[in-house]
Amino acid sequence: MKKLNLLAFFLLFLNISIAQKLEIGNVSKTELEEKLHPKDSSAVAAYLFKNGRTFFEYDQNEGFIMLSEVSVRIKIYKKEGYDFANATVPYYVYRNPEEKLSFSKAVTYNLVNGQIEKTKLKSEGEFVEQRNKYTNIKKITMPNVKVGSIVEYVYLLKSKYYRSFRDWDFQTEIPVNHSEYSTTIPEYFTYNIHRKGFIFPKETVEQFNKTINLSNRERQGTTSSTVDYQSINYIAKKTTFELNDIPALKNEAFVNNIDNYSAGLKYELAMTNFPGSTIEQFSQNWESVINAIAADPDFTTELNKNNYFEDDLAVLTTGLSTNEQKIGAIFRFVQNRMNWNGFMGFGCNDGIKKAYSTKTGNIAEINLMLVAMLRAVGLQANPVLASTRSNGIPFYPSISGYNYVMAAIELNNEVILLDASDKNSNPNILPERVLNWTGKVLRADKSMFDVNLMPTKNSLRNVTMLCTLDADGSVSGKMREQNFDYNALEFRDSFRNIKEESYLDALEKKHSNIEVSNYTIQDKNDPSKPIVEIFDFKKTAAVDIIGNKIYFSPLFFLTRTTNPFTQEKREFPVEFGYGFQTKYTITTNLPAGYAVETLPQPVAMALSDGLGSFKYSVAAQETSVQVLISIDINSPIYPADFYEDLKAFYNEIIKKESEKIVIVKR
Amino acid sequence: MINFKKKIFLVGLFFNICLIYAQDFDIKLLTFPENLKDKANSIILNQTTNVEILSQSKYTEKVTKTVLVFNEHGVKNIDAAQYYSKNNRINAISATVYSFLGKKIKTYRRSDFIDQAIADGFSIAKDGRFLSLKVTPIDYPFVVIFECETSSSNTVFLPQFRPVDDANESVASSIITIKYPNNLGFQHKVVNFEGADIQKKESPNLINFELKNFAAFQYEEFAPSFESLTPKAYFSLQKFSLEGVDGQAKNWTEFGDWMLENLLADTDVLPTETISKIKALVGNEIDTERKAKIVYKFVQEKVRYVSIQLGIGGWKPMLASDVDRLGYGDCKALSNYTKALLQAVGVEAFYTIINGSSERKNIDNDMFRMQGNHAVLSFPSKNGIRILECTSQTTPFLYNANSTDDRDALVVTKGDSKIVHTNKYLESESTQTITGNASIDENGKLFAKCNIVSQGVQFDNVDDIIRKQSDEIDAHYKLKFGYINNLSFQKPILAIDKENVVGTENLNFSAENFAQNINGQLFFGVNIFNKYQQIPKRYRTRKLPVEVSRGFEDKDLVSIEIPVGYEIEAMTDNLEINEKFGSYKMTCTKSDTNKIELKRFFRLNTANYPKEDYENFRKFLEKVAQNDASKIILKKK
Repeated sequence: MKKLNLLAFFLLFLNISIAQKLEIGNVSKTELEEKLHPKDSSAVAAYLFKNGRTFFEYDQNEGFIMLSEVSVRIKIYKKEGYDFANATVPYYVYRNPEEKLSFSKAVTYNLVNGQIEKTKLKSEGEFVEQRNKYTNIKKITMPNVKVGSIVEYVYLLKSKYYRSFRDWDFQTEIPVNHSEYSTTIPEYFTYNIHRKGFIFPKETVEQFNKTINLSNRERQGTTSSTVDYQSINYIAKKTTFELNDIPALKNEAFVNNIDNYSAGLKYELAMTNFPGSTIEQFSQNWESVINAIAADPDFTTELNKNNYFEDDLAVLTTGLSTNEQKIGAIFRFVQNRMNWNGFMGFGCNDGIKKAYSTKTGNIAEINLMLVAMLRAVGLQANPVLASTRSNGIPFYPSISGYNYVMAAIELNNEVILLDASDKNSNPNILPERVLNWTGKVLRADKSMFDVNLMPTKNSLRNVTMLCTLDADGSVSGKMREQNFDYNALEFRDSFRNIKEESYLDALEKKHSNIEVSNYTIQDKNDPSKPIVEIFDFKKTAAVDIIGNKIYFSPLFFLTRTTNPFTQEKREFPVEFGYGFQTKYTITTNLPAGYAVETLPQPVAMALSDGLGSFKYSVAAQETSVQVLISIDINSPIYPADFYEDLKAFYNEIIKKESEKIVIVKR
Repeated sequence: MINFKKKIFLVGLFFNICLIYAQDFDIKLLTFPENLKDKANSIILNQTTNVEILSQSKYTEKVTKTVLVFNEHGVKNIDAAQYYSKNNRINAISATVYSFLGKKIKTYRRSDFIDQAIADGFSIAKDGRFLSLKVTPIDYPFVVIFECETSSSNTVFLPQFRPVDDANESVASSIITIKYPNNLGFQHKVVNFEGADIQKKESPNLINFELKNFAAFQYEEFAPSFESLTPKAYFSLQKFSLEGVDGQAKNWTEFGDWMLENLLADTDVLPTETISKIKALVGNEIDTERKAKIVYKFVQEKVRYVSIQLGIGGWKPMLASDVDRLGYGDCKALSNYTKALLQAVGVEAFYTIINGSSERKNIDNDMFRMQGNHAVLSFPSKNGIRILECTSQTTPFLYNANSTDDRDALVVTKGDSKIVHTNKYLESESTQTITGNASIDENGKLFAKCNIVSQGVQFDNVDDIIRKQSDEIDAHYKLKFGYINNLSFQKPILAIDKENVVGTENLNFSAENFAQNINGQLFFGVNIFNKYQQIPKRYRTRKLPVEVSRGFEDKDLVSIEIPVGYEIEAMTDNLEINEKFGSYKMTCTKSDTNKIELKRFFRLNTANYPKEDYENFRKFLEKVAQNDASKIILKKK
């Protein structure tokens, strides 16, 4: 820890010494001459600096206005980086007062015959697009951009919406040499500041005394007036975050939402305390966030309505005695009746009653309806606030940290999670979009607790094949594949509405062009059951025939050849989404007149801490060979430092699966 | 699956009741032939498009479309969306959703449609917007009636009859009626009508087409483009208007002259400074192509592609002097700018309208109207017509494979505008040559090195990879050689020779356990560097003809060193295949005591075949893939 502080101290001095030239307009020849990014030669462009500041100004008519100014200097190294000479910034225009956005000091710098040439952006290169009724986008396209150019621009956003600041990203898709973000906040506002990512900025805090001058013109008679001046002193706190040499953010496979890992800052208003008014709390801790949500009439009153479904519920639950039966019946009823309109959120839009009658609703309408119906039959059902993968993992308690609501039932000391917005989900098998972080269960008595949303149980896949190998090298047989839980959900989400012929085309292609016949599928439309597929297959040239010997991998077309992990180095955790177990039981009847010459050795290996295992065994009978394989991945997520092991694990699996059985003609 | 017959019977019973609350949904529409259900995610039960051309600068269009949607994939075929801009107005738009039994579920008015700017992903500014509707289905199947009335002053773009717009959508009936005044030179042309049930009716000042019972189809691998498979009728006026600019044309010459006069005139003036600069660069060069090349290089260094499409600017290029000053422009602006520079050095190049995409699409020769989605330059040279793409900052001079090759384009020339066919890349020009060296040690570890030289159509592959980030390059090669487990790459050395349009890849990699040890024998795939693996799908019944749009030739020469003390136990036989689809030859010989030499040639022809040939075509590629997977076994001496 000490070492780190020392380093930070050192960096501070370093920054001061170079801080001089990191100002708009101060482009140097050296910067223009640079051909490649010194630390990342593949960078197409880089931010030489990317600085921002957010501060408040007081206007006598409008009160505090929040201003955010961003100034950047971008070096274009390659033609592929030309897009970084265009900028787009959205701003909010739906309600009054609209946000205001302006660009300034936008200049392209080039080195022409050893001289710095400046080309200013004129209005012809500035455009406004009305993206939708909420948002306008201001776009600029810089003039005279070439390989080697440097572009600079500043934009200023004026806003009255100070519940949160724009997120500050230190890390972007191109390298950032220096990034600094400061906020100067009057004492009347308290913000929560949260850092994300694996790189942490240095933070410094200063305080200033500030004054607001108010003037009050009072009219006296018809001609003269007096002006009454008044000053208010307050303290402003300036917080500065600095970071240098931030590498480009690279997306990696098996990452649910890269935004969770990129370095950045988030600000959320916690409280205001203006002189002469009472303290107003915004979101400060999860309790206050959740109390604010729970107090929302959307939530409370909507949950307490039940007249709209009473008749249907009575019919639905007639004759059901156990809680499990009731849960099942109500869940399926809501799941079948309701159609998700694609909108997220924990607040209702048209209201549950309307949603019920139109059979269409947003996430809150569907799942709060489910809670209300479950409560109506006496179950301890409650809403669960959650954040979808696309919304990311909230880094601090805030209302925007949640964007989703599900239902939870507490029964026999267990929590059952339900989401009726997906046609293929099940109790405790939730749509992929919500497998993220933890959920917060809000009990009717206002108490609350966390619930893990990551699947804890491995989802199974069982594949059984009975194959007959022909001396001509073709293999035919019957395959049976069973998919459970998340495997089944994924299957149904992908294929439920695909015509069988198209699915078979895809299936044949996936399995190296086998020919499929007599295909049957069970329970395709009943999510409470596993998916079972049974079909006959035939594949020509499935083996290698060399001389009087036949070489084949016992998994035939199911043999994996490519490791899903190819990167040399991993920056971020590996997210599978859910743990799984895949089992193969494959029996191959040998062609007449052939006998086994060589069998692969059995193998059993395991990842440390019981996080995964692989078992392979093979046995030969007189006329057949049987192989049993099981692969277990026991965690939905693995830390980045586990990557090497995981990669090696998969390499071994692939190696083993591709090992050949050799049979010889007697 | 829905039991259709039963439902129709039921519907019949309730017919009168339905009429009471759903007068605007004619339930009779549901009596379509059974075969339309097959492969369809949706069916257009009825579409009527009424176009009325009121004058040279005004037409109105009224569309009523009734779609039956079977499943979630059919939802996108509702197409309840409409483009608009200053000169293309939406006068009315609405949609109504009905249950399958004709019960009205929901009505959407204009304010329920989402109003959005057209964000095409690359345009900085575009003035078109569109209204679109998001429908949340409650039960399948359901019916949507979409109605839209528009008016436009851009008669150069008359509505077309494109009754089929998705392979998995059937059309029970689609009718277009166009009323036109007889003094504007109304014309029409039909395309791909063969085999479709289409009736044409004509009377003075009126034309009408009706397509009936067009069944949805499954799009298949190696099939020609969707465009070339579906019926269409095009309409145009000899007297037209675009963004307030009137024109008339009875042939391409007149159309080209109109463009020159109204869209291109006076846009090509360059500052004298730039003229002298380009003249100085060209110097004493007299060869047309070499001069053009110098200009092209100048443009590539100076400008970048930025798309700005506002008003007439969607068709009229930005001034060449503005491009010169700002250093950016769209395809029209950059082509026009390059043309002006060429002109300054005495090379006459022509503004050329084309469809730019890897899928080949012609400018229709018979319809003298605005077409295409792209502008390039063309100029005659001793090697024939050459196409110059001006939007890319990296593409080599005159290289146009996979974008504007082998298709009809409109060359705009004063008094002589005409359609020309652009150059085609032959298989023998689209080569990939691999020279490789590999060795395998006694533990089965592979050490491999190769040099890959790509040209013609195949040059694009290298040109694409070389611009990627190092981690993406690594991932690219690991995927390309995905049939080898446990690969480890040294940093690939990639090079582009822009001069000769040659891409070179130098790869160096190793893989543990490449050869499998089976009882002391080593077993491995002999074709290490270039395994063809794309066996086309087998179709139970192939429905569509076959197209190989861009063939190629691959030549490999690989030397494989085997570990000392080992000899060849078994090796694949030589194979040669010569068919109309292409040819293939692979030979494996022992060249030295511990060396194997592999020679491989594979040519896939650019061609079109009838659907009956598909299975043989597939088998040809299957044979290639199977032979490429051949193994070798080594044993200890």
